[in-house]
Amino acid sequence: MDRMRNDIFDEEVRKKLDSFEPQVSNKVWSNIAEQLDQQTTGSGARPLQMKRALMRWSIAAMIALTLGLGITYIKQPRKVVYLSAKKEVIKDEGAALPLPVTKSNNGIGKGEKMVHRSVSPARRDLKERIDGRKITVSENRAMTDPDVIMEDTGNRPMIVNEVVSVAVSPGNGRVEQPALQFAFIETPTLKDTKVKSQEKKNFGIGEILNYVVGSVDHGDAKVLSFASDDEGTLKVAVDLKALKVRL
Amino acid sequence: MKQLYTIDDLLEGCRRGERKAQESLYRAIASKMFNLCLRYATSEMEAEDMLQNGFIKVFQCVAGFRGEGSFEGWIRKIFVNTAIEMIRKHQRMQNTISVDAVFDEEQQTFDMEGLEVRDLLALIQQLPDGYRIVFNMYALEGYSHKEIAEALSISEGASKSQLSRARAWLKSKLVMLERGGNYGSYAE
Repeated sequence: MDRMRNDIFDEEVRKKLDSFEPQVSNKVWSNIAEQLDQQTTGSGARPLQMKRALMRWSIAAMIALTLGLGITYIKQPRKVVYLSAKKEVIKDEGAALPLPVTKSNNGIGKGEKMVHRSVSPARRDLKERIDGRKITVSENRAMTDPDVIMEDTGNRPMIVNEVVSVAVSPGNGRVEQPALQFAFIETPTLKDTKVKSQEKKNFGIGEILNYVVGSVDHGDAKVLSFASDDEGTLKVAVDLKALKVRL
Repeated sequence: MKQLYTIDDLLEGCRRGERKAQESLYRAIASKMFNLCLRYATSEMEAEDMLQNGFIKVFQCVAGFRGEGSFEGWIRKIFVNTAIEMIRKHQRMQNTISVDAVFDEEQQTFDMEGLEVRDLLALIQQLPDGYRIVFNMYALEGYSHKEIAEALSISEGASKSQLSRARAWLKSKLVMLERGGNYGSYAE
């Protein structure tokens, strides 16, 4: 056999192959066109979609942040200024603070009177007189309440019971003598001498009647307040700090 | 009357991304490029994948074609690179046969006229990946060993060696076919 040079061999192979014109399946162009469409659509739309998505997420984040801050603000424990129905309980340091006492005769039995007596016997100037089965308790000072006598040096309520004491004497035998029996009512008082002017306590919504609800925020935080009530003094303060707009 | 366009005429349309120009270019050179892909691939299916990926790359990169050399030559380069990339992706480059397995057939003449193209293609497709790529690049595409070495990240000596063994392998197969007188049966 004749020897064939490499370059001739290569040339023969190339010629043979170049003469070949294979048929290309139609699906190839379909795939190419489809892929090009996807790339064209994708390249054009992706940035826009990303921008829109970014904007949506930004808005959502802002709303979430606003809601979160709002809820946090609302959920903050509201402090209520502790006030009495008629006047503030807040007293000067060292003062005894009386709590409201029910002033009614309904709970007192017949012949019983509830009085406030001074704890200072030296200054007590009561004239107690027995008139039949009635008891009249009077005082030099004007009474502040028909049923209650207030003393200067402390206001301790006292129950006065009309009792009959029996005395047996050799001459008259058994003698019945009306007498008064006194019993102090321990009125709960706020003994906390550390009460300061602006002491605050937390109350449930049902407990705020007869108390003034006020904002704990200082300064101009309390924008609106409402007062006036038949029951005494019901004040409602609305804190509109969050809505306040500085012009 | 049907208007005829040259490949260069379609260049501007392809640069503008016009689908009609792209399709016209595809119709004009698809067969040629498929022929090229068939030589690098191991099967027709793989060659179709190469063809598809090659055209996608051409249309993506056509805006960067600066007119240095012919447009068709630039396209062929893209297809060769695409073929190499796909073969590498499948990590078949290491799939080389051992030196001992290749018997050095004495060079001789072959009756190429009687050889069917599909049989020859089938033989080339049976070459190990490394041999096939080097043979294709050097013998059929005209690359130098230096260019092949750079493209495949191998030494020029390795390129020459692989080319030599690829030729020897092909010649031995051709001799067997010629002696058997039945190219078709051998090449599936």
